Amino acid sequence: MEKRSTSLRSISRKERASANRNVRFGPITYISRDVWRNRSRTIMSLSSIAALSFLFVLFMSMDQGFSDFFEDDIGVPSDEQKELYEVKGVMENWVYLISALCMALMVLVVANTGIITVLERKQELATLRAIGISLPKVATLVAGSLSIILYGGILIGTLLGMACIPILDRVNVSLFSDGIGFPFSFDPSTIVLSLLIGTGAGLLGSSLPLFILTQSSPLEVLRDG
Amino acid sequence: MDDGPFIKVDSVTKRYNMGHSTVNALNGMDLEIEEGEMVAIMGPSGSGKTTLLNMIGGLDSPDSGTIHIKGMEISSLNEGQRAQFRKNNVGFIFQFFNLIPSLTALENVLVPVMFDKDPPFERGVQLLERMGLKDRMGHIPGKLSGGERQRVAIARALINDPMLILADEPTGNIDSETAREIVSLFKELNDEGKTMLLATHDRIVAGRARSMIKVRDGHVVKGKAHSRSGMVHLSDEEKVKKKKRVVKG
Ligand SMILES: Nc1ncnc2c1ncn2[C@@H]1O[C@H](COP(=O)(O)OP(=O)(O)OP(=O)(O)O)[C@@H](O)[C@H]1O
Ligand SMILES: [Mg+2]
Repeated sequence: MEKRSTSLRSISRKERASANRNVRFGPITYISRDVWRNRSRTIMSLSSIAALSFLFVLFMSMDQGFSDFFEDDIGVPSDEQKELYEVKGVMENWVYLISALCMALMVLVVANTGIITVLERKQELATLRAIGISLPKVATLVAGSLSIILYGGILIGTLLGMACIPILDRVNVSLFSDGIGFPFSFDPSTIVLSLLIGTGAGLLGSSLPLFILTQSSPLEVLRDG
Repeated sequence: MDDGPFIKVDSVTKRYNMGHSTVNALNGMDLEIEEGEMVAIMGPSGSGKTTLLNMIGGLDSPDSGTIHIKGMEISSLNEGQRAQFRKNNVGFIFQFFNLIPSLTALENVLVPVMFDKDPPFERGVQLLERMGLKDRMGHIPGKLSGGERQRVAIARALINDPMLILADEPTGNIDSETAREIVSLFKELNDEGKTMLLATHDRIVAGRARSMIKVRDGHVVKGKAHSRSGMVHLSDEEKVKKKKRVVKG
């Protein structure tokens, strides 16, 4: 039995080299093609994530701005300042609530995107498995697409937040009718926190789609499409 | 190395539950196929051809009975082992081509090896050239004709140089002229030593195989013209005569 096909048309070395240079195909290419082909879905999910992390950064910076404000303050608090202390406490509770909400909504966006992915592309994913790509590797491809959307969204949202905070601080949005300024201050640790919250949301949100994937059979390959 | 036939299907049954009723897709299927064969599997719709190919290719596992490929029992492998088996030993060709729409022809050919440490890129290029698709390597499947898509799929099936090629209605979605070319290609691959199994409704396709089996109600139909295993060998001169007999019988 012949090992390799020999009846190949011979091509020049130059041609072969140029063909080779263009071929760089691996999981990364696969994932980026997928994200690009389903770009309307990508943009929708990515912008939702971006909005959520923008909100998160905004609230964290409000909290930070408040803390900074009180650190500067020395001496016996006036009545006005006492009132502010109360507001600070309320603010902190709000920040925790908003962070939790952001995370819950991110879980929802990731889960939603992931479920659409595994259901819509059932046949394609089954094809990959039928031709010998193992289930964990197919799951890696799905998780890769979701990661791009998730971390892309967090990046955009955080950058947008970082850009807006100095502006907001200067405008000094007035919360109260008596014109007390509202300070914003961005702390770099917010980036780390965003990433942590995002990763948590990603792990939680992708578990259902990946579970659906493990329950599907490579035999789906036979459904026409 | 191993005795026994290349493919041995031994009293395989497969049932599918459809709500209240069960379908016996395979019903005591026995089959032996030698290495280097090119076998057409014919039979009415629902007779179990696809199910049989899936079992042999390690896409599905039987309820009872065993399947050996080259002495290795594949019916008892787990899903991970079966994926490995499919990757290294089987080339699948599907009726609906099953190419990845977002990838170019060349990338599609390289999909089975995309996680490999050292993927055989050059082999992908060569295979597409061999399929006459030198100018189509950068095209996505949507820009290719049915015949071209199937040839991309054949190149993909060959990327790991499998010993076994399984084609389920490979010409079901292309015109008869292109189908003829595809079958010639299959014959060429068979001449190079690949064992080929084709499930088909197309008598012209089946007539060009080396041998043929008929499946009905989940088992091989044995007639007067058939050998012990139920296989009809279509030697060149007798092909036409025997084909008539099989079709009638
Ligand atoms: N996943 C499944 N679930 C339920 N029933 C199935 C499934 N796959 C196959 N069957 C049934 O098993 C029987 C055999 O099906 P199979 O697809 O093997 O037939 P076939 O010979 O390939 O038919 P065709 O020529 O139409 O492709 C049919 O009655 C079919 O309805
Ligand atoms: Mg079928």
